[in-house]
Amino acid sequence: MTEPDTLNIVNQEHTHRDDIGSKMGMWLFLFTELLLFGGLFILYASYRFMYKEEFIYAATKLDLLTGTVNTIILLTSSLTIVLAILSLQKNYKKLCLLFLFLTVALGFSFLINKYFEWRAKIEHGLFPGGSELLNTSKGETIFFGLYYSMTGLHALHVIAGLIFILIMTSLVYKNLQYNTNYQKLENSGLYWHLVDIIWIFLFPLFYLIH
Amino acid sequence: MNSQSDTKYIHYLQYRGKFKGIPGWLLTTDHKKIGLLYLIAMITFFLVAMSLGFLMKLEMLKPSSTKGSTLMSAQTYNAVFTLHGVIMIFLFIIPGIPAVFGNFFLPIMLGARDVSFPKINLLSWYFYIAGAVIVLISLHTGGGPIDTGWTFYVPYSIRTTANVSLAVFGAFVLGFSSILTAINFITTIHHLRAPGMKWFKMPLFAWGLYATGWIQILATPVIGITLLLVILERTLGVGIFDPALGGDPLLYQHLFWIYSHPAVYIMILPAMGLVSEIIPTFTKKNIFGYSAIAVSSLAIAFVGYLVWGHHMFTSGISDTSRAIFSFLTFVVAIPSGVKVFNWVATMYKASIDPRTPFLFIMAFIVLFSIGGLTGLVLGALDTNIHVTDTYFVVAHFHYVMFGGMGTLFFGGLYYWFPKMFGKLFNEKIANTGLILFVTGFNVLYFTMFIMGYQGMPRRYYTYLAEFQTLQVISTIGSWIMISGILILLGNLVYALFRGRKAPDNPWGGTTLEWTIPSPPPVYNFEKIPVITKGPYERN
Amino acid sequence: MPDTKNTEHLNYSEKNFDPPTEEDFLNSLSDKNAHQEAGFGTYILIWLGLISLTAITVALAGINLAGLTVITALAIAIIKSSLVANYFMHIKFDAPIFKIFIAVSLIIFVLMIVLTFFDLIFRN
Repeated sequence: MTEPDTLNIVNQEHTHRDDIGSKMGMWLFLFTELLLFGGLFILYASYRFMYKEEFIYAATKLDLLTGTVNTIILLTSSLTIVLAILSLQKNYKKLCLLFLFLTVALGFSFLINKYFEWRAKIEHGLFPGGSELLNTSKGETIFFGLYYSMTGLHALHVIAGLIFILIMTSLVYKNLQYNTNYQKLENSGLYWHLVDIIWIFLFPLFYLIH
Repeated sequence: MNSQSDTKYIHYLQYRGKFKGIPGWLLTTDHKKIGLLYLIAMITFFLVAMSLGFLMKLEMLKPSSTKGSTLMSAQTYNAVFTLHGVIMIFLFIIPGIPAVFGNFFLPIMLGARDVSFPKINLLSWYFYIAGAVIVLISLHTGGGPIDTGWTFYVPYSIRTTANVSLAVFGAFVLGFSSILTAINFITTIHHLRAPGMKWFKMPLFAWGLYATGWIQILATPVIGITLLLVILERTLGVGIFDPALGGDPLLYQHLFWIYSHPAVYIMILPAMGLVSEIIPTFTKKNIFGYSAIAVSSLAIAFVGYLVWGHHMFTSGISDTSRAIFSFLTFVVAIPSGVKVFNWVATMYKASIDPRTPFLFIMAFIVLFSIGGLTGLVLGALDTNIHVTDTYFVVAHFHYVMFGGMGTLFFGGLYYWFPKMFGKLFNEKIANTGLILFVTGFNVLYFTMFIMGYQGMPRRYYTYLAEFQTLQVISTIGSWIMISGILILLGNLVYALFRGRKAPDNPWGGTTLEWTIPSPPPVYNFEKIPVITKGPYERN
Repeated sequence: MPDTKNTEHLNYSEKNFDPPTEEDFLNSLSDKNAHQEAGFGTYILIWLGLISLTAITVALAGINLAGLTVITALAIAIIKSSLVANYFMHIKFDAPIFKIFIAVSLIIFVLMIVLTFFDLIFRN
């Protein structure tokens, strides 16, 4: 066997930066997320078709104020992350870090809101197998089944998004993402916006149909 | 033997990166080594699932009503056919060709040095192994091996005491592997084609993988969420699929088949791409109707999304949708026909060189045609009612999946083996194995068509005495087929160690992988090639 | 066995070319990385638009629009998400291939819903 080191070879881990490729990969991943929720949206549409009245009645039990506040929180966090990326592109590192912290703070406040909202529901026995839900119509059981599945899965995505953004914050802090190399940050931004878009649809479907 | 191989170079199997030995393999980001990691894992799983199939056929040698005990109990039989299905479908047939040959050859065929995301590529192998391990663990924990069949239909899957949750979670993890591979391939095809390689100068195998990638990306998440909901249903009782709480089990079937029907195309499109590679090589001609074949891959992928309902003809879906799904099912025949006619036109008046890989194509065309034509019997509403859930269905999908993708998996292995390992194999032994395989295959599964037509239901561990003759013939067929497979695999293992050295282009192929040494150098291309002609054009 | 020394049958001869180096190839890719961007002002305007649309949709939900409630709510959600996608996610400024990707994904998703509803609507 020939000795590898003696020959001039291109390193197998020879990689180059391909920002467009990286962005394309991210978008393809976002489509999988879209279709992951898509399955749930198909179920929601089907059950709403089957249990129209029950869905409208069940929706009144959700707290519109919490939902609206959370919508505004997520929309604002979408703005802050996009401003963070823009700041980095313009080489304002401190401003970028500030916007990233704001995004993380908003993301956490969304989760805290969600926690109190779920806790209130659970205290009222409005959870799968809960006292209240066992005594209501089947349509309402399904409505809350979907409510917990969809907002729960969404919350998991918020957590994942926050983890990405925290990692990016440290990369920006360590100058590993900078004004001409920001694709990782931008990809996390894309993910965060997708989480926002999904909430844009979840909000009217659960809180506004009564 | 030829100039390129004489020059000194490091091929990918000799290359030592940061790590040596096993860690060097497990931490490699070389697409070729990852392809081989998949190959090893996949052949292992295939042999396991094949053994399970062997046991099932052995059980069917005698109806259990005759004296003496049979091989296994009804519950064991349920677990065995479920496992056979889960392993074969999720671990072998669906990922098979893309994961092994796609990983190994896609970058080379495009003139690239690796896929777009080499680390994610390795990660997807780990997801694959993790998914497999989770399924294996599920067999020995909780309520024991799953007995639902590979379709995990509710409400049974949310009621049974078997360990469905973990097994289903394993399938979910496998989905991740599939998605990551697809993201890698699509980005690679968009971004890493060699200069001058326009879309319509790309090898047809790459077209097949491209269409497949889109199915994996858009369909896999749907089954992902469906399986998660089954777990939620079993653990928390959210009610979405539980009829007792108001859920509709038919919606489970919809979501399941929204993925699982396109999954059929995930397995067959790369296989068809492989056919489009092998035929021009051995007919020594440019392929006929290149762009028609390329576009028909996308067409099959697209229409393939819209036909899932034909798995539910007897489940109680509305008559209107049954008619629509039946119609759309027949539409798939058009792009499939386009491919077949173009292949035949390529072979027409060609000086065909019937080497082993080409014979695999012949076997594929015979077996897949039988599978396709019986598919029309199943796709038509009224005949479907008669044969649904019988051996007819089992025979049909074995012809399509095993006769289609399975044959071509081995065909691809034989076509590319000299390139992958730089060794030549014994063609006479290979041809003998292939003949045994095809003969055994038909004895095994064609009798199942007859039994199914006569009313033998699928998934039963025993049968009425009147079926015994055919069952015995079928079981003997399984022995012939398995001996064929073992010869085919053994021949390659022998060639690996004792085979003669392979030249760079043993078959006279025209695509890029044949322009580089065998086995390929670690960096594939010393210089990124510039493409001026179509992939199969000869001077 | 075909003689592989004879490369005439190969399609990829580099004879007639002064082959571009890999560097050229990589540069050609990274050139595309530059794309125009919206400024701080645009983003804040879009955000204001999104907040107003949220206010409108909440206000409309209080009014009884009978069968139109869900449709208006969804229409507003679609406008909001297209704003997010076009501006915050830069689709408006990106290569057309991304728009095609999104269109294909959405079409297939919509077809999945439509075909499912062919079952639900006509079921007895």
